[in-house]
Amino acid sequence: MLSGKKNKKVYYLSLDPYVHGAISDSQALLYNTLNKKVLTIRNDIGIITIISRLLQRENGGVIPVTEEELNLPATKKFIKEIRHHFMGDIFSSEWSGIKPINILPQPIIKFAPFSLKDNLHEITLHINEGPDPLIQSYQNAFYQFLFPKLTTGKIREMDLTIVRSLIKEFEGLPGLIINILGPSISSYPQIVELFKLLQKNRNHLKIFFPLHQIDPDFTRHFNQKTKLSLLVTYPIRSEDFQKLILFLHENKDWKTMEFIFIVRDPDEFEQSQKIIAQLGLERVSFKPFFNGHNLSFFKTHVFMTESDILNSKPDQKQVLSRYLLNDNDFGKITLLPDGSVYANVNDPALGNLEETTVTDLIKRESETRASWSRIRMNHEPCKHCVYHFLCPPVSNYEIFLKKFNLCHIEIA
Amino acid sequence: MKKTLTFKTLRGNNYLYSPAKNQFLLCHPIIPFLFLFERNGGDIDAWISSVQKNKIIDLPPYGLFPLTEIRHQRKKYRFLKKHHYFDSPPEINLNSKLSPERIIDNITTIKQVIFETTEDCNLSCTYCTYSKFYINKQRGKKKFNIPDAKKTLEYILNKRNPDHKELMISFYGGEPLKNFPFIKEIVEFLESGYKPTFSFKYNLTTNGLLLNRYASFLSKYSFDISISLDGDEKANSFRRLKNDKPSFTHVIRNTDYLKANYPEYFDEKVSFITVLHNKNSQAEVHRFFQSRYGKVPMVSGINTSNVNEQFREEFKQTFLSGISRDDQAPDHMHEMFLRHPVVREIADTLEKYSGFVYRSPRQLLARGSHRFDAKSYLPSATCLPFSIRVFLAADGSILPCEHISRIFEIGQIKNHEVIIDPDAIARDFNHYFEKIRPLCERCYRADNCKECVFNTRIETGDPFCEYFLDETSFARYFSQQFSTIELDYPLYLRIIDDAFREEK
Ligand code: SF4
Ligand code: SF4
Repeated sequence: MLSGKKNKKVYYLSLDPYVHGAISDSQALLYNTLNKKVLTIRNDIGIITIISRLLQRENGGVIPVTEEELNLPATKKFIKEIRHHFMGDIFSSEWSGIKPINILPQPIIKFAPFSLKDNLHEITLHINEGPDPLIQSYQNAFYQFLFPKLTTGKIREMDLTIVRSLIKEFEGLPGLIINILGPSISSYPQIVELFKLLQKNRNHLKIFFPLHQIDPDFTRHFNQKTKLSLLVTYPIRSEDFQKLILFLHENKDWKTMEFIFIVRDPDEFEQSQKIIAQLGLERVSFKPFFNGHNLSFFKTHVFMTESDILNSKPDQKQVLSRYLLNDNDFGKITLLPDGSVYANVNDPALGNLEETTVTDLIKRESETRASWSRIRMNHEPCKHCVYHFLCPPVSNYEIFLKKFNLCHIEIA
Repeated sequence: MKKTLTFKTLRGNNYLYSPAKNQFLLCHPIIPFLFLFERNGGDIDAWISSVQKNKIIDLPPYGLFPLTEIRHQRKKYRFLKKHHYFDSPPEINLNSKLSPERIIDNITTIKQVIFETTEDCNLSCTYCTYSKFYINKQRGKKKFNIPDAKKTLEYILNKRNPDHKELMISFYGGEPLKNFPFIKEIVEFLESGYKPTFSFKYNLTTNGLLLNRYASFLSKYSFDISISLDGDEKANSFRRLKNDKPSFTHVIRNTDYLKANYPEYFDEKVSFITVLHNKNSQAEVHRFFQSRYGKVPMVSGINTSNVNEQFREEFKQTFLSGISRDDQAPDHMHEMFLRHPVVREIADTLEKYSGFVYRSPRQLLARGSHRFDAKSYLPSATCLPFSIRVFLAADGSILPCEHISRIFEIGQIKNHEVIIDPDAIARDFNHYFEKIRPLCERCYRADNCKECVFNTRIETGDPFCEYFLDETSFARYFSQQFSTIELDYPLYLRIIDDAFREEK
């Protein structure tokens, strides 16, 4: 046998289009979106180079490898693993006269003329803003999750004409999610009319009340699609706790209510768990609140570990969306009482309704996608990290803290 | 029902297309073998245990493979099966019906009204649909009656939804410029009577013979002009004057006149329409218009429907024999890009079948598959009456569009009265849809159809669709496109980068 000739034989190594990959200086990662298998390669330059070639666009997930390369123990092992986890395959050039191709798993959003329906599904209305001495220390929570906007000045109300024009603009849209917040919702001057307007169009309303403001009488404004979310902050005054017990007792529908526990440290976390058990609460969630002094709490409770990331197991579409969009923000806007509109409250306002319409502002964001397309791939240090498409979309915490990697991963 | 299919490219690579996943997959040759083996009732496990160990097994036409490899590919096949690559998605529901209300609504938002300005023409092209090669009636000389045209415009504009301000008015022929007084009167009628409530855009398709005479009027009202020209002198030789002399020099002279005297208007508003046949080719035509006018023409093939059987052979000999093949050259595809039919089709396939092109960000973020829904559709891609345009023939016939035979009339202008009966139109259309539905239900293109029911010999009651694709032809369709991509991957990359962006 002519061994020289044999060594010239070419194979093609291919990666399947349901597999995504990333490389950093000394690491590579492949992720199979079907069986959620992750293959991590560290410090093996030969294999990292192969993966990097496979991921180069112009190679389209298929690269030629010689029989010699194929026989290198490391390559052999790598290909065996790829095949074992159904991530790709090896093809002989003898089967065809040309390199096979892959359709790249690269999402494309086709250009379409702007439509509000495609770009909006959630609005957050801060119907008022102002001081609330009982929760004033939570002023920065507004930037981290849905929380009333607390200021030290006088209370400021959103003009009802803003809501009227909004509802007119959104006529005909399928039901939107409308979050209503404010440090004193129940004292909004035209509350009856406000609810009447917002409950049009099959909208889903979520009213966010701080615990101490809980008002059993207020639910009379609700319809089937209006839900209450209670923001539980610490310390809890005993009279507020009693009020809550009474409320739960008197309110048949409380099981549809959501309880959001806002916690700053392990103690508050523990207390929350006790309350949940004691009252038998069902729809609960926790929002860690960064107050400037509790980074260590964040490190233990918010920062992702490698196993958190690997356990998230996104599917193909989730991964694809992370190349282009921020699912936390896309299609959502926030309006403040002064008429300013935000795609994300941590970013500059898109504009003010005194000057333009909300449709125009949404259109602007849909074109620039300054907030709606905040993806890890575009930000330090995540863009150098092999987990960038496995990690959840950038959150408000990260934007507020100006730290995009709330994780325990050392980028290699 | 659309099933998973496997296909092989010209050079021999194997792929599969899974409609359930809406995804293409490059696959090892054993995968299609196992898939088809099982589909034909074979028991893969029984077969594998029946073949001797350590043997090399011949799987024609896929090749020779060791048993260990077959075993591995069985695992992969099962893996793909578990992840739904071989599921059949629900059948597309083509049972929708057209309602008279929809037609009434369409009239209020129609985009284009086309007048057959005159039946008469000052050319006598060899391939004209009124030539001996087609079964059409003799060309008449009728001109559109001006009061009737005004009546019809009043009828449409009085019903018009005020949110749809802009209406396109088109002048078609024969040669529309042979009835210039009509054009002038209609334009002035609209400009003085209906502005600013509505705004109008005008266009016409002309053979160019009278262009010089009316250029000032046409440019004043910013007419979009499409000049029919098939390329250089040789390429244009089927387009002839009444005395059978070639029309080329006359048309070129007038076109050059327009370019020289109205340069800005020419740049913005003038385009060309070219018919492809055996005396020209995409590439030549492209070069001619690029170099002479800096424009890219709209090209279409010669009309092959309604050919007179008596002259079918002569038709083929005259127009189709020896058609140039240079159009498939890679350079040419890059040059023409999306205007090239092959490139357009690849883009279309990627959009509809790759699973990676989304209609909106919301669709990308939505969970689950985006392709199949429970909605019911109308079969074929026929434009619904008045949804886009209407064609008003000089003899008073109202037709869905200018390409459709008179037998499919949807109304009349008679005794100065516009007669449109939405119930009758809906009944007729639903009848045509009923007839084509069984064919469309079997067609692999049903959810991506581009064909109009009126091109399917529907009047015979036994429709035939040139674009119908069964499983085999659908696989062949993909195979051709993948063969092109295998040869020219940069073309594919350019398509995904540029084809789906906003057209500038
Ligand atoms: S947050 Fe950023 S740095 Fe941390 S694992 Fe995710 S992508 Fe990597
Ligand atoms: S291509 Fe023809 S057969 Fe297929 S769906 Fe369209 S009209 Fe029906």
